[in-house]
Amino acid sequence: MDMSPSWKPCATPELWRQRMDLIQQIRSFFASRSILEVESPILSHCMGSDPQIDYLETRSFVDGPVHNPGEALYLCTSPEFHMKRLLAAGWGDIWQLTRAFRGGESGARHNPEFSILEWYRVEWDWNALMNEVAELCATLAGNLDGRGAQLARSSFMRTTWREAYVRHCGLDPVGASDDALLECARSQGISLVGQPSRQVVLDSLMVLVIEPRLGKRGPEFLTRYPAEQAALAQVETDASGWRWARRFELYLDGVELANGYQELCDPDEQANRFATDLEQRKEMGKRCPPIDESFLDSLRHGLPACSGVALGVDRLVMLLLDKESIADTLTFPIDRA
Amino acid sequence: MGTISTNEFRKKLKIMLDGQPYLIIENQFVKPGKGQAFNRVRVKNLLTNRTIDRTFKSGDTVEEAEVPQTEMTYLYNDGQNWVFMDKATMETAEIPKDALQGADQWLLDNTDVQVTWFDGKAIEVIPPTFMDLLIVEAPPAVRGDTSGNVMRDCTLETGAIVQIPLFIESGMKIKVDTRTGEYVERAK
Repeated sequence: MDMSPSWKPCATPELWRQRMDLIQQIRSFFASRSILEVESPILSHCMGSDPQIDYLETRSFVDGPVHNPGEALYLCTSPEFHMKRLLAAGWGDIWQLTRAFRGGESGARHNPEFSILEWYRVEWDWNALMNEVAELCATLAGNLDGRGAQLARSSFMRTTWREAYVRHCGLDPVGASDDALLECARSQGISLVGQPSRQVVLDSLMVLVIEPRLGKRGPEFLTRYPAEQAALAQVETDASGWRWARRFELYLDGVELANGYQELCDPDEQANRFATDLEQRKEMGKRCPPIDESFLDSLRHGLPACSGVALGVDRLVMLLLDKESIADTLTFPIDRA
Repeated sequence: MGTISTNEFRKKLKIMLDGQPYLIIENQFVKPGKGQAFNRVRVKNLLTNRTIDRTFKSGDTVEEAEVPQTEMTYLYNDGQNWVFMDKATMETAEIPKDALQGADQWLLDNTDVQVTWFDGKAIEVIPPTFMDLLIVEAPPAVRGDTSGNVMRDCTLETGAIVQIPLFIESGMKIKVDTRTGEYVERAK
């Protein structure tokens, strides 16, 4: 962490030049594939429903009909809903690089305001999209000679969510008892405060034990998440009756870089998931911003079969340029903003 | 003192865990892409000085530890209790030797210290970071051995034993860093 006076930027001009160079290469990558660059609102009337995301709300200082007086507007946590509305309107393959905002997320790998790269491929399944994500990483790593770049150029692998627990925690997260999970967390040195739920223990193992060990030999995709963690991905049922989602995450050198789905297109199922999420938010004592009905309308009109992915650009820049913290890749991270 | 959320966790914050006061030494925020965020903290027990790790769900709250600090002046000791005077109220307080945790080796009459209290008891006595102290006993330096940094033990007027370089002798005053117990320079 930079200890310079707090009026000064964290990134150096040299680092910034390299960052802009990488962003230029991202543009070239998508241009060469004839994918349309789009822009969508950062400020919006509605929000998502994810129980684990804290939304940032804005209000006008001005009294009067700036918009609807007193109405809150929300900073986007990802451009997903707007981009899917473009897809439903028949825009075809699209990509976007924008800022997204998440409250309460601050640390070496988090900043409440961050750069997100999101793109969609119509008619593609998730495997094809994973391949393209790996190609982008290798392209950006280019001739950079650091450890992160070497890893990004290495051949990638896929590991299922269940395999990851078996490999790194020694248990099957689906079959294991609550006690076995808690004991596993204890044996890994995770001392959880209070009485954690099964999901909290699973998440703690994921983020404190498994994630730091992923992507150590090259890009590693974690796949087949349990249906409860499907988010906006399609869900399948395996021969044993276990339900899993066509959702993947990309890890490089222990850092989560991207999250992708073979997208859920069914409006009714989507509405159900919103309702479940909102129920959970209420149980957690969290406020529920209005749900994007226009997004549901676009699904009712018809979202083409597609796969999409969102990638954290600050983290990717950090890894490719061998930095310890995303603060090193930003002019003014939140402490200095 | 009220409750405090993990969102406000930072280094040097003092919190209550299992009824005891702890100091946050490290605070790491981690979050899976979709899932529960955690604050993993390394904390030091202010009573025992033991360091442990704890993992909180982000958003959990804890009690802030009530551990006020007072500026005091050291007066004298009877071998069991060390007596200090509060600089603000002029009241005196006896602090048992155990609670000093070795700080007594730096105390001269009228030395100003910072005392941390918990539940009516002193739990830490912090002397000034740098003190100029007289050497009362030091073996003669072995001349001839000039290779590298040859250090030797000396005894200071407060009873502390500190390592000094060749050119420092008994009867001199030296500046000492009380945090590490190391010689800094010859006192001016």
